[in-house]
Amino acid sequence: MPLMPKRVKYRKSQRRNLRGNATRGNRVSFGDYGLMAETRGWINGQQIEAGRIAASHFLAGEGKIWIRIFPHKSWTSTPAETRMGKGKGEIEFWAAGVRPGTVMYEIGGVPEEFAQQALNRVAHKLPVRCRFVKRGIR
Amino acid sequence: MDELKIMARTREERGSAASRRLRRAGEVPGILATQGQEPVPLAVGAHEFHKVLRSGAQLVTMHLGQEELEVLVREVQWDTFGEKMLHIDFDRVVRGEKLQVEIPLEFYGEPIGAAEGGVFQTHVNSINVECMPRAIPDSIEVVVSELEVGDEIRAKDIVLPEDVELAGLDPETLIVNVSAQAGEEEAVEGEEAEDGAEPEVLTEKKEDND
Repeated sequence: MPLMPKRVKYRKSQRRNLRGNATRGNRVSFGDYGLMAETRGWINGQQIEAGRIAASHFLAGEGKIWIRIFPHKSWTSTPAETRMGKGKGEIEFWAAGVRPGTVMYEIGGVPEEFAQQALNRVAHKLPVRCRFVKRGIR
Repeated sequence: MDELKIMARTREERGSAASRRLRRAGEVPGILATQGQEPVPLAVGAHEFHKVLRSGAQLVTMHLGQEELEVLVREVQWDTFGEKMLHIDFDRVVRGEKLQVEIPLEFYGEPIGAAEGGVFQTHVNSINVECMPRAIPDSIEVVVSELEVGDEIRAKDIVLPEDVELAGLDPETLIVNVSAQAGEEEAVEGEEAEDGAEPEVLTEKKEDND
């Protein structure tokens, strides 16, 4: 199942612009290696889940994965061939807004090369350009 | 303990625009704080200071004008991507007075438990210690090779160098452990995926049955 909130105050949310770079969540904090977004975009629950599955299959039980983003925003759309009006469309999916610099996934407890390969597989599932990052000074 | 030297100059220009100009010219703006005195704005060479950071040294000898000062690198601010230095905070060291510094932990060895299928996890990567300026260690060694599945190391178990004490950290704080099996921690922010298709809406109007 894709990630989505357990409970929300309002079902349909307004989406804000993803202007600027990430000022929070831009450091590797839990694991030793991370996957950082280089561009901005909305990542939906299915994509986050696909990334998680890709990494966990590759790691095959070794190490630990952290997902640092969560799809808080609902994304609505109106069906095809629908006339204008009749209010806001129905929820299509839930998405996380990602700004450049956001560390989206982290891996710990595995060698660097192994982590790099795992996160490369994750990067292929995401709609943003990604970069492999390490904890500490670059 | 490595001791490195850096050249610094006092700067007159302040503000974001002047700081940007400095960074473009290959320098990093910083500030030198001295207890009981006004802080001094200064600039250091970015490349030169990067070498200091990579060495892991905390205590640096700074040449500021005609003076030679012992300073501690208190904080370094980085840009979003952690590539460019934005600002450096230095603290002037007073001889004979104890300091509180953050020292990185270095884990040595391959835990026995990890080879048996457990997952080695580090929870804390640096600790605050109190010591004299000359006794500041570059790093603190933590030997983890003896850890079996279910074993853990807490702050009180760390063997500190002579004249170095733990500061501001609960002795029971978990540093590393080897857990039984691989796990995935979903969504650090705490909310979980539900099997149901829709989340519960807190403000939804309930239909009256009257």
